Amino acid sequence: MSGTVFPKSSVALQDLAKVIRSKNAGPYEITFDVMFTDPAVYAHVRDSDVLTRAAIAKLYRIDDADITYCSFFEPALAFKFTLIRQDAQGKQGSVGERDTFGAQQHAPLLDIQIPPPRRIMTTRSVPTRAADADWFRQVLGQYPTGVSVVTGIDADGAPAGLAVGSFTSVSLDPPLVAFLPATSSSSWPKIAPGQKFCVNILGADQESVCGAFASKAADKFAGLSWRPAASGAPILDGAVAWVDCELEAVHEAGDHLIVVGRVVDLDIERPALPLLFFQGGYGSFSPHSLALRDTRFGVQLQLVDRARPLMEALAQRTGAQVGAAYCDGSELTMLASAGTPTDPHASAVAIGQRLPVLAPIGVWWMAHATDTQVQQWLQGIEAAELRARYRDALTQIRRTGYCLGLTSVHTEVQALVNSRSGPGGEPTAEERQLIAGLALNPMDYVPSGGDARRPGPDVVSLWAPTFSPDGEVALGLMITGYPRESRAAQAYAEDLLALTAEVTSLAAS
Amino acid sequence: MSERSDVGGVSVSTPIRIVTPTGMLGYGYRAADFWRCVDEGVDAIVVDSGSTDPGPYMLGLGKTLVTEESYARDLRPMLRASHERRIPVLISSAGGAGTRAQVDEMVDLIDRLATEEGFALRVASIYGDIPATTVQQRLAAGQIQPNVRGELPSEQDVVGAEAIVAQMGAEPFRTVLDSDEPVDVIVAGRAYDPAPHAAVSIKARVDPAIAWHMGKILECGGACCEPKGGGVVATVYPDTFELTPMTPGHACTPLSVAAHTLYEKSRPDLLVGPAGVLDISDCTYTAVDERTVRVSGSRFEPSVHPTLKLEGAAIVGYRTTFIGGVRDPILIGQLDEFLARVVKLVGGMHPDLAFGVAQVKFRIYGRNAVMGDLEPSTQVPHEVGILGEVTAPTQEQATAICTNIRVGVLHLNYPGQIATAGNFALPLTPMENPIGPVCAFTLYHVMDAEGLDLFPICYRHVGTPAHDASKEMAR
Repeated sequence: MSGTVFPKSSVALQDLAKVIRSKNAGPYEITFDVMFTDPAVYAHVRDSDVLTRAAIAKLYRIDDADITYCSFFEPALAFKFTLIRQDAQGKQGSVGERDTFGAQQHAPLLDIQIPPPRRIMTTRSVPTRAADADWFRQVLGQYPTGVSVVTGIDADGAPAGLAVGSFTSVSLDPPLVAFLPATSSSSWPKIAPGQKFCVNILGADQESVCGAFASKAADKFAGLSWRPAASGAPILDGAVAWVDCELEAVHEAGDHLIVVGRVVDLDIERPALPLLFFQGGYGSFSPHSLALRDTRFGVQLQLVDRARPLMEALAQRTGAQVGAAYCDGSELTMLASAGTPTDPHASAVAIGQRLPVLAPIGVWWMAHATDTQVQQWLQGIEAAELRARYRDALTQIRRTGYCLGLTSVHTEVQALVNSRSGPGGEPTAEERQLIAGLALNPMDYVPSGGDARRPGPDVVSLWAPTFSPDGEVALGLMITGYPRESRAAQAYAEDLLALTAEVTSLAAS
Repeated sequence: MSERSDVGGVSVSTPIRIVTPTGMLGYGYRAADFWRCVDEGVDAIVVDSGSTDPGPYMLGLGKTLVTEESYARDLRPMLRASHERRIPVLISSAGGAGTRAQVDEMVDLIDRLATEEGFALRVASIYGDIPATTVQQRLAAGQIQPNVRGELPSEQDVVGAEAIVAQMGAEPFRTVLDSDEPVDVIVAGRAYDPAPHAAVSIKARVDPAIAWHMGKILECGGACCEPKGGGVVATVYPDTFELTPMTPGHACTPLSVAAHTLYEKSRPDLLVGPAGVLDISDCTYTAVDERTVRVSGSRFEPSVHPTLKLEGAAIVGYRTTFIGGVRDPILIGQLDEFLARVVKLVGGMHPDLAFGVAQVKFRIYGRNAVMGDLEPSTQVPHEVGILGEVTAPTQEQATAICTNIRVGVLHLNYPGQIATAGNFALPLTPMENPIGPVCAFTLYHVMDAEGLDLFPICYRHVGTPAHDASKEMAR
């Protein structure tokens, strides 16, 4: 490129060319010359495809047929075109003549913007591949999307809907959302005239609903139950959430439309996993490496971020799911999880899950708590003897470094989690009663508690604490969902203890 | 220089050297540069004197492009060189349009100059006028091609033309060069600009492609140089030619020469002339030294039928004009409606204006006077200039209408008017200025020239034989 430096933004033609001129070519034509001195600049302008017959016709607002010549001319490093004189320019040199020599007709060329050079990659390879619809879908399919059904009421008062993978939030103030139906969609034109629509976010178990709305079925609502939102648009039963909208704007974008809705109302229907579309197929979200985002747990989450690679490594090596929780003495919060459980009986760790810390919940934390905290923890256990046995169990757990979780207890806890709505707050009497019912045998949580089966096949999870530099419990780490047949629970316990030791030293560094 | 055998005063062996001291006779050149060039050896001096660029007035009214004084200044050194060194001088498209009258005026001027200088010259005049009857016959026979706008001339265009000329090719010049009549100066009527250069070269057995291409560049003088201007010398070989500027400090570069092939031509690769099509798309431009370029690779496709490009001009009316300015933004904002009202008002006083026998055209300077409908800018200016142009069948009528239009622009009221004492800033008095007849090209068409005997030649001796030999030696 002979050392030619091109700016990164567009440049006016007058800053690239040496000569831009117009002149008569006989009495009926005016010819225009744009000349360059640097072959690289000439080639750049030529390859920018800005100086075309169509562009000239548009700029001078003339018919294409009135351009008698238009071409680049390499020997002179020039672009040249010739126009037939228009009536408005009069007969040359006669009544009404504006420019006898045609010498000032070049001026609009001066400000033509020439874009910066494109890189070889974009000029050579992409245009051909980008035009390939299959390739486009394959590449864009690497980006997962949720699945929604946009519903509305047509002109006849009947419900209409279409499945979309392009739902997105747009603006907080004003509250705007958007989705992108194809211009070929037959359903959107039914909904649009009503100026109102409702976006139903589908759950992982609603693939069949998605299929129905993606089809050309005459009645997509057959077999579905729904209720009208404030707008009248259907809220589908089983949707994870819905967003009721008034039509704000429709923008054209290639073979799709960008439909923007102003949110009128919205709600979460049920706390379920959403349906996803990814790599050309449907699926659901599988928690692999997630963390709660809650400012109240800033310090703990910083530690989780640092511990995450270790948690993921262990989860991958063992086929287990590894979780991290924090306990503040009165409530236990699941902060993060890594990996996918191999054991189908292990229920997934729910990020953000909160439990009241009452015996036996939070045994791993209480093993290192103050006497006052333990006393508080045991307050729901009426029998003094049982409370004493719990204190013994805590002592043993503190010595072994970890504790056990049992299938039966796990099931009970799951039921409690499902019934508990919202974080924080004092446990209800009902919850207290349920939790107290779990606390029958403290030795169930103690490894090697004089019982050969500890930890045995009924143990579905193991818990161990990590410590902060000042000796306080920082996090509780948990391993669950590991294949119980291939290794003894004891082996997983050793893995867990190795992990907590590493995280403890991480916290100290 | 190789050994020469002179026939008709022009070398027939190559290389030949042709100088064009200026792209247009009368535009001026430096005599010292010219003489240095002549001293280095020149076989022919060729200069173009015409153009259609300034419009049809020269053809329609017989006016010359520059004054007689300018022609005299440029001619003197060339005539002296011809006399002293026996270098033929070829002048084409004499006077601007190349009519018979302009050829004769040029020869008369040469006569006067030679007489003043005290030497004699043998002059051949070639006339390029075409009888209207010939054009009428060819038009009726379908032997005239439509112009680039697809228009054929009408019968009235032909008979109503003040003058009709045709761009002669190389043949009439060849006829003079090949005749037994010794000639020092050729003064030709309207000619295809490169024709005299081509004729001189083809006589020296140069490939016609090279001869026409060289002529095409040389006829514009130093326009192919960097910087532009002055004269240029071509050294012509059978299959190539070299260009060197006449002016010291100027240079011909491969780019400057290639770029010049674009100038005033509707396309840069194919150049259509009376004898055929010159194809320069595969030409090479090579630097010989820092101010000389060699050109080769030109091709020439002779046309099957000889053709001629006709040029005809007619007087279409008489004009009176006024010019002035408007600064009031209230009026600028409604100028088009305002001027339409003025014209309508004046049309009520002059039926010829209302019925289109007379016409008024405005040019709004500051808005779109230069480009009209082609103007993409919609910017509203803070002031505009208005040129009013009234055309009518007589000068008196044009002035009468123009006066009423000017008064209307100056005093007609308009909606929202706040300035009630006058709308128009007039810089000139008298405010209306008659500018005489206005012409239009009525013919600019290609005619089949098969079987026509045109371009008569007249030989004449001008000036006076020298009596004082010492005066001649004194230069």
